Amino acid sequence: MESANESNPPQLPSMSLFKLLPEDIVLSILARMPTSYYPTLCLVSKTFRSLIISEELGTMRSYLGTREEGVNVCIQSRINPRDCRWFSLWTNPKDCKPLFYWTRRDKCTGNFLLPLPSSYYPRLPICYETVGSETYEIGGQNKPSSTDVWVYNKLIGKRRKAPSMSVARENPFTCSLDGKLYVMGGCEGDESTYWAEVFDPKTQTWEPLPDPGVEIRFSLIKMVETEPGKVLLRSNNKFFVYLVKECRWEVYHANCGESICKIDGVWYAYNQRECWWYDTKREKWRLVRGLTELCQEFSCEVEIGSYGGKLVIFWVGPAVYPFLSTSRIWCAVILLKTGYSRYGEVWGQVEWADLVLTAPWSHSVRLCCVESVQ
Amino acid sequence: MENEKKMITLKSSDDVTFEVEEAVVLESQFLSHLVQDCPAPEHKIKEVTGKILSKVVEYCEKHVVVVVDGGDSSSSSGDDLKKWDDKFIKEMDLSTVYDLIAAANYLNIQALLDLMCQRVADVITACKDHKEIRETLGIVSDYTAEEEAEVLKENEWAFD
Repeated sequence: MESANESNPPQLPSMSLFKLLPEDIVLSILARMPTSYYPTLCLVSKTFRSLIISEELGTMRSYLGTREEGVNVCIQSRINPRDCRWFSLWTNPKDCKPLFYWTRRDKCTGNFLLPLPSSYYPRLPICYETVGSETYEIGGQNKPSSTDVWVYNKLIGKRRKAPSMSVARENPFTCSLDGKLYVMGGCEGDESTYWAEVFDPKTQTWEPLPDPGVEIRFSLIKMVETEPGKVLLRSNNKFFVYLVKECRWEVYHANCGESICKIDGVWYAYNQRECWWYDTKREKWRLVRGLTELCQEFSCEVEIGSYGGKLVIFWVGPAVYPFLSTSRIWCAVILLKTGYSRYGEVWGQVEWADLVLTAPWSHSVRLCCVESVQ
Repeated sequence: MENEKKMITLKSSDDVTFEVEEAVVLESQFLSHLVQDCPAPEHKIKEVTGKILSKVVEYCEKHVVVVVDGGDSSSSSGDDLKKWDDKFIKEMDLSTVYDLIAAANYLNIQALLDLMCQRVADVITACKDHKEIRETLGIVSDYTAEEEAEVLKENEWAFD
């Protein structure tokens, strides 16, 4: 391969070594590689490993536009709800052919849930919004409550502080819509004035949103989504929406079922052993066809999510003899076919379904939430 | 275009000089500020050797021509440029790539920096395992055998 000294003039000792490259350059190199190489890269050296698991790598991928679609799932102990562990679905790139069969006993794919390094969780979405050459970072992982907002300028390669939020927050929910950054929660539930606020990068100012009401402020928010003109908050069993033009909050999809997600602009929900999609034309929830057999396998612990345009379903399977003290997490990836017939049906085709994690914990677990990474 | 064909001389750390059009110099954010602030005919760039500066000039000259010509025409100039870039990096050994990264970083030529970082990423991606990556990049592992085994175990699902 490359010979390090080949064309250097002899009078100049070679100072051109990889290890002399500045850290941000190395990050920029790593951020250009597929994430499936990360386990290998972690083995190269301690420095590599610390860069791979760093937050900065995520920021770098964001503005290089190399973030990959993936999905993380949080698994929580029933006995000790503070014991949450994050896993990332890792699909074997060599085994990417669609599988139309699956078995309950043997693994039929090379796909697994890989534990995310402990420094990753609790891993709530960080808001990255690029305005011109600047990328804003709000929120983060395991950081103490703070009003700080950081902005990374690509041109000068430096991070600086942006105007602070009005209240200190810890792991707030964030999203961006029409070039503005929305930040919600992460503060006390009785903070009614600044529970949610919005930042306009053009004017560099924060403004509070109207009080969303006690019910939202004190509920456990699971997910934030955006639609044109709307910011959507999903709590355990309800959906709330902030209407940007009208500056007000309202309840949205009151009975959205046990788990819900949006894929390519369409809402999907799981409820009582069925998968549903929301038909905006007919304004009603309709069954996703073709999943009857799969749905028979589901337990009461089911979470769905978006996985690169496909529907991903996680569920806790029954413990099997002799491994009664383990928890078995299953996963199915469903290819969605919309506009399949003139009745506007949505058909699901199981791409693969497999056991992805046998958790060696003697206590039962519940699936907490699914986070799509993109 | 009153500044057309204004020529500027760049001098490397080892006193190799390059006479280039001003448009070429403007590819570098650093040099465009330097030229604006200090209108001398010759600029010494102490941080970059003649060998590397010649590569930088070659790259900037190629890219400046295409941007000027390609205004109204054809995606083919874009394709040609990509082919030229591919050839440009293929002929280069890694140590030159590192030097060019340092130079592009210092002179603030983002497109060249991107190209070179991608080149290193591609070289790493082509390695079959972590040992080959170490060898290729000249990295000495700072893991103890036990630590390495632990990381390997942490990731072992990814290696079957």
